[in-house]
Amino acid sequence: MKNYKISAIAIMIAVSLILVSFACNSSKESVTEGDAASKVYVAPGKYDEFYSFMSGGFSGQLSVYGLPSGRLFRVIPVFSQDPEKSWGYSEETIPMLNTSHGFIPWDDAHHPELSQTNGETDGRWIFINGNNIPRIARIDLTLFKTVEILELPNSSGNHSSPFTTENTEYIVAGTRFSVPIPNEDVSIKEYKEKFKGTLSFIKVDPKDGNMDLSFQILMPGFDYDLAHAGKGPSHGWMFFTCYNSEQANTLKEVNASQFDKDFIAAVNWKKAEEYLAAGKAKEVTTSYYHNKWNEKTHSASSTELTKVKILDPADCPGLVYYMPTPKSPHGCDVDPTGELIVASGKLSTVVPVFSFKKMLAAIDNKSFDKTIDGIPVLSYDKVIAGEVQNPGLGPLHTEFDGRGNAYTSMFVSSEVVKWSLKDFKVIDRIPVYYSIGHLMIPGGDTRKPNGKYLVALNKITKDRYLPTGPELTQSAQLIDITGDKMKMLLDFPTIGEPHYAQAIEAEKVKDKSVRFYKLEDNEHPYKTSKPDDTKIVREGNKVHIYMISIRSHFTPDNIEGIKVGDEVYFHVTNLEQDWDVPHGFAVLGAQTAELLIMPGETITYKWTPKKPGVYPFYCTDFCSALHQEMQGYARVSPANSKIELSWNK
Amino acid sequence: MISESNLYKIKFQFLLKEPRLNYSSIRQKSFFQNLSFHLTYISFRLIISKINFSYLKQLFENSINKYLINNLFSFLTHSEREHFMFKRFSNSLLSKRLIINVFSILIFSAFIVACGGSENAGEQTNGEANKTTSEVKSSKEFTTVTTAEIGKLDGSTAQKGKELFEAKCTACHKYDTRLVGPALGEVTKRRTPEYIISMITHPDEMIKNNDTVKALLQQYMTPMTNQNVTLDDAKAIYEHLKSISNNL
Repeated sequence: MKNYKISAIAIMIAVSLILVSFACNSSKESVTEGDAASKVYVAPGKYDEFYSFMSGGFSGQLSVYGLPSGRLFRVIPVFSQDPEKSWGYSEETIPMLNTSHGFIPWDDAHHPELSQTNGETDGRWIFINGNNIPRIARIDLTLFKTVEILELPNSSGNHSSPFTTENTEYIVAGTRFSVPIPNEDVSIKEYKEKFKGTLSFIKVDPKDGNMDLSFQILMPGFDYDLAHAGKGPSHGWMFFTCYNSEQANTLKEVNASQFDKDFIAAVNWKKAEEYLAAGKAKEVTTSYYHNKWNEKTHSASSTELTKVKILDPADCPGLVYYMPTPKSPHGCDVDPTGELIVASGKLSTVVPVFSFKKMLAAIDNKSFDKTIDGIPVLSYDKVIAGEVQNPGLGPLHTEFDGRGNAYTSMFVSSEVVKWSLKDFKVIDRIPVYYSIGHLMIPGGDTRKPNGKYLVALNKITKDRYLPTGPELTQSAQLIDITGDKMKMLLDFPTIGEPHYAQAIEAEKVKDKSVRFYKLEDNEHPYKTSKPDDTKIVREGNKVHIYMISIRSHFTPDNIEGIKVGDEVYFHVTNLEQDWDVPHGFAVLGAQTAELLIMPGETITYKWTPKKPGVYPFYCTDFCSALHQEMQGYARVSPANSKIELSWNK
Repeated sequence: MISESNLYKIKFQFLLKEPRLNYSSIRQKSFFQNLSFHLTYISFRLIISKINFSYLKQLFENSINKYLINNLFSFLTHSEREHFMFKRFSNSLLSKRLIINVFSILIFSAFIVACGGSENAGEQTNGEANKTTSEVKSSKEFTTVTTAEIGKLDGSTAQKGKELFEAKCTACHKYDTRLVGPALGEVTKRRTPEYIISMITHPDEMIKNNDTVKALLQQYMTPMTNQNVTLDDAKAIYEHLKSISNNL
């Protein structure tokens, strides 16, 4: 009995202790030290703190994730067709993928870059490069839609792109693969004589974001790899890393790794503007396409451009300088103060940090080692601020936390290394899984980093997730960088190969998001604003169907008089005027994709029926309780049929 | 680097390390000794680590419920202990102390359930979709606009209302017969201006709060769509419907 008494007392004490601990725990802030799960937990109905834009890599698209949760919100189609969103399938979007090589359904997207004002991300646009067919796309962040794609002539392997200046005056592009310029039939053995690189500067209209290829700089035939703009005191300069100063044209793995040092090309773009104004540029005829989305007509146009201005550094003293940089540099990153330029030699055992002030002094003092094609090479000793010793193996990219620290990704040793910008000493290191490429801190390449999280964008996934056969998802990892020690919080899978990513405070974007298109503002040439205006018009063998959709029917939904050999265009206007009420559209036998029509939008669907019959069409996006009833029929008669077009209203 | 790879594991490793049901120790100790040990241990863990609510709930479910259910069951089934334990158990059922103990556990459970419930309810009402600006009026029918906000309806904008009606309403409404929604030729005879204008400008809130609209939704199954019509335009549409009604 005594046992029971003790037990009972113990239970009472235990219960009261638990109740007390509840009182202590009433604050939601209380997070256990090391409690990774609660740091990335975003409760149902709550929002993430950051939008993160991850390059879709070889998918050619741009994905949008929330941080810290790692939840995928949207894949924005950019350079590749997307049947889910009819990107590159609907008549309106097909021109967006037009190039000087014709309609191209795919590209390899690498580096998302948010627009900036005063060196801070401003949430207006995000740019991303197409690597295979050199292009730059602009995505409007009120729509999360690609609204412009500019092709770049005289370029190849558009990798060092599209990095922005601090007020988005320019975004840049460079050639990772030097090519004959203009491209012509020459022997590859003539690489050293005939092959050149170019650095392109694209002017961005501050009002509407319109991109214009302002000028190109003709460079020695090295591989121009990555870039970042100067900021603050170094605003007006752009820094590009380059390798293959050996100018090898085969087995570059070995032959482009011979020299002890390659270069950072420092470009004074304000000087370039002066030379441009002074008429120093040579105008060259070429061919490239400029594709623009018109939000009023809900349609894209593709325009061929034929002229480009080229500056030759040999004719323009002070335009470009080379800074020797150890061992095939990759990442090229400028710290938030704009004074330090960090390069990462992939094969280097140190991370060199250059001083902008010293660079200016070296230029003033003409501390040149030599000149390459009219470009002075500055003395390494005169421009270096310091070297990070024993940083790890295979340094690639560096971002900053705004508290005087830099974080460098180490591909070979699979780790993130934190080091001080004061004394270039390593402070902390954390292993990542596996083989990290880029890393990203929200605003980590701007003047105002938001140093809360770091995302590691890993190249190799291996055993991190449930296996899915030979092809695995891509692996990103979220790291807490607020404390002295970096802490791993979360693994999350991403699409394509995640090259670079950028993130922005959700506050800067979310309230500007468009919810639907106003019908009054819809200027699509085939818009139908009310059921009474629906009609079908025959122009030879082209049949234009002016159709509306609203919960939950199409008007017209019985169509007769189409003949084999006709090209049928469904111009569907979604009459809804409310957020998140898209309607879909698909017809049996259609050779394209489905349509997904946002409220107030008009989209055109081309259908070429091949044989007589009755073809149902239906809404592909569940829209209401009677969504299953949202369907109709199109009758197709033989080519010689006398049946007139008819439809119901 | 051991456990970062598996978040789930991180989240629950703490639970996995909890003292599990151990038959040998149970056999050596009494039911209440074990229970008190568990509860004391849990509270100790709670206080030192300040773990958050969901952990506690998990703990409670994992450790205590299982303990109570499985062990009570084991009391009754383990043959070697059966006689002794059952006797003890049935004796203790009569004990007042047991009743107090069980009672305190029940209070504790109720506390957890109550706290959990209120937290969830709080989260659910945070979603944008559920945001309502008006309270349900108990005295009279729910509408989102008042008579005063509507002001005068003199028929001067009926023509504009006709155009708006054709653009924004005719996809679903006819004057004389039901289409997707009800026939609207005589709607002004059935409904007040406040009802009609609220239904045009704030259909979502009307569907949620107005009993007539709730009943209509059950009948028609397709909710009235929000066509983003301004108050002035909704008044014009009302005036148009009023003029139609007068002419019928």
